[in-house]
Amino acid sequence: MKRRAFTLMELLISVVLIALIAMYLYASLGRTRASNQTLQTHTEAQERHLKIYELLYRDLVESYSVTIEKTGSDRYHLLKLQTGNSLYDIAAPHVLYYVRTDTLQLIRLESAEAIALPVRDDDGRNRIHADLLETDVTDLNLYVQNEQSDANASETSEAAEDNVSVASGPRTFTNHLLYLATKKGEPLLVEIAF
Amino acid sequence: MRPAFTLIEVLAAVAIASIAGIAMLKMNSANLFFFDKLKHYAQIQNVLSVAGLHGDISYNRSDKTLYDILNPHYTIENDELRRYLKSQTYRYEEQLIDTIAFDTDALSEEAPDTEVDMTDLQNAAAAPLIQFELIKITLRDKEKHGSILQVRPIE
Repeated sequence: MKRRAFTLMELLISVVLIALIAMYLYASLGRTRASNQTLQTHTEAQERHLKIYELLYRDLVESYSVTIEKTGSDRYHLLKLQTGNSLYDIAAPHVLYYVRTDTLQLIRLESAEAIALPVRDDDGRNRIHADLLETDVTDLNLYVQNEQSDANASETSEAAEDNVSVASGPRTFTNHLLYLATKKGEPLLVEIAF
Repeated sequence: MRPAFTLIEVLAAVAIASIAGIAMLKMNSANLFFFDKLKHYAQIQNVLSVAGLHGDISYNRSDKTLYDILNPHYTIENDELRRYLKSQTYRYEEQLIDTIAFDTDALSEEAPDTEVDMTDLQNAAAAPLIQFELIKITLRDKEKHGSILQVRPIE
C-alpha cells in the first residue's frame, strides 16, 4: 500500500508548532543567560570588594600611624597611613586612600615620602605609585569607635575629632567601622580592630 | 476512513509536553533561587560581623535596626550610611550556651611553686574567678537568618 503524503496544512501546523517551541526555548535560555550575567556581575563586585578589604586590612593592621581626614563631603574620608605593608617593595611606605569625586574612582597611592594632595608631577625623586581599586564609588568612610562605648578602647581620646592621629607606641586596638559603597551591588560594611 | 489519535495518545503527548515545560521553568527559577540564597547568606554574614560584636542583652527579643546597634558606639555623619543602617531591621535574639570560668591564679605570670603549702591553697580559694558567658546571637528578618557565637565577660 502506498503511504499517504503530508498535506500542506499538516506541514504548516507542524512548522508553526516547532517555531512556537523554539521561541519559548529561546526566551527561557535568554532569561537564564541574563540571570547568569547578573550573578557574574555580583560575584565580580564581591571579589573586588574582598580584594580591597584584604589590602586595606593588611595596610591598617600593619600600620604605624593612621590619620582619617574629612573631605568636603561626609560621604568620603581620606585615609593616610604609614604601614609595613608595601605593594612596591618600599620599607615603611606612606599610603593614601582617597576617592576622586569627579570620576568616583577609589585610588591607593604609595610612596616612600609623605603624600600630599593634589599630587604634583613626578619629579623623579619622589616616586608615587597609584592603584585604581574600584570605580563608581559613592561612599568611603572609616569611623573610629567612641572611647566611652568601650572600656578597652585605646588611648586615642580624639577618636571622634575631625583629624585623627593614632600615635605610634605601645600597640592598642580600637574598633573601626569601614563602609565602602558603589553604585552597583551591596555595600561593604565591616568592623576592623587595629 | 482516516485513522484518528486515540485519547490515550493525546493524553500521553500532553503529559510529556507539560513535563518538559515544567523542567524548563524549574531550570530557570533554580538559578534565581540559588542567587537569592547566596545574596542573603552574604548579607547576613556581613550584618552579623558588625552587629554581633555590639550585642546587648537588653536588645533580646526585640526588633532592632543596625543603626540602633551601632549608634551608641560610632558617631556616624554620613547620611547615606545612616539611611542604609536604618533600612536594615532584624529580630535580635540571644541564647546562653554555656558559662566559662577561669581561675585568676592560673593566669599569674610568676613561676609556679614546686611545693604546694597551706598558703597556696588559701590563695587559690580566695582568688576570684573570671567568668565568661558563651552566647549565641541570632538575627533574622522575613527572608534570612544567621547566628554568631560571642564570648562576653560576666561583671
